[in-house]
Amino acid sequence: MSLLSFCEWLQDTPGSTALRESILLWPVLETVHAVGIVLVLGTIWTVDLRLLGLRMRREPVWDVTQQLLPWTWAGFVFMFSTGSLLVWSEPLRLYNSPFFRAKLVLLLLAGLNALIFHVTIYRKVTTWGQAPVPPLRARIAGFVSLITWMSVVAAGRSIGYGP
Amino acid sequence: MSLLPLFEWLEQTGVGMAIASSSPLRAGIEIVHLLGMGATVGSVIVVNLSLLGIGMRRQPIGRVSEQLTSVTKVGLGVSLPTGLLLLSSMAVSYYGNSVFWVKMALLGSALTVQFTLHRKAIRDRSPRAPLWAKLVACLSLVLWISIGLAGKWIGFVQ
Repeated sequence: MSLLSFCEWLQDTPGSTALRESILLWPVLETVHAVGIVLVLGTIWTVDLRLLGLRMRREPVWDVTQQLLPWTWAGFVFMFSTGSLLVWSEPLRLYNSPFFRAKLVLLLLAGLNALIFHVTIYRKVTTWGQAPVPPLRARIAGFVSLITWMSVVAAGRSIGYGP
Repeated sequence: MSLLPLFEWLEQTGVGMAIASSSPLRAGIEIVHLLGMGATVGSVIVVNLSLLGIGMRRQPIGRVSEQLTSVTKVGLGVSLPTGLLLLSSMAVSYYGNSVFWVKMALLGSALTVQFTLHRKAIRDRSPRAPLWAKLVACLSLVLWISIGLAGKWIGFVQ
């Protein structure tokens, strides 16, 4: 089964129709989705600014990441659960939306960037985490994260404007 | 005096008409507006988690807030002017939208709380924030998040 025919099947499920036609549920989903995103952005950008050596320079890097990561995950739970329902409500339109595709690629990039950071330089964070300005590789990870998450917001908002 | 003439004038300005006539321009400004709001509300959330003692609690609140208040202000510096631009592109229709006025009331309240009560709360030097400061943190969270929600709801009402 191709992805397109899967989307067609998904669109025809009763759940999809109910979500699409619900006057109240859809705005509520979008709203909770947005709150989840703000929680993710607030915590991730704070970590990024620390990695770039621009903010929280007096706090060790691990102190910032450990204390904020649970809230980032909480934001993810809101973001992904409501996001999945929003996809379910209009799979065909999103299948054809270049901005939705871009958003998925950007989310993948953000995840990949975080994964690479965690399995490489972050392993030795105890050796560099107290320096006000982290080493170049950590700063690059912070910069990429900052830009990627901004782009996720841009792509996400554009879905509503685009085809 | 009614504010309607002001809103009508705003919509007739060159800037307002330019934004109204270009969908990509409006989308671009809206994205920058959202990013500014993201920085404002995101940083407010982190400071309030710290104030509530449920995030960044190993640091004194003052050390977290002094670092993030500037992020809040940069976010406001981006979201307020872009918000005015968005308003100018369809001012008359916003004038008749009750949710828009709810958002403005919330914004006024949030800014007032942020620069009075909240400022006092983050300057408190006790090792753990007193109850009143935690209540201010809750109030601040509710107000700022409601602004985002109201902003989203403006489009659903029109």
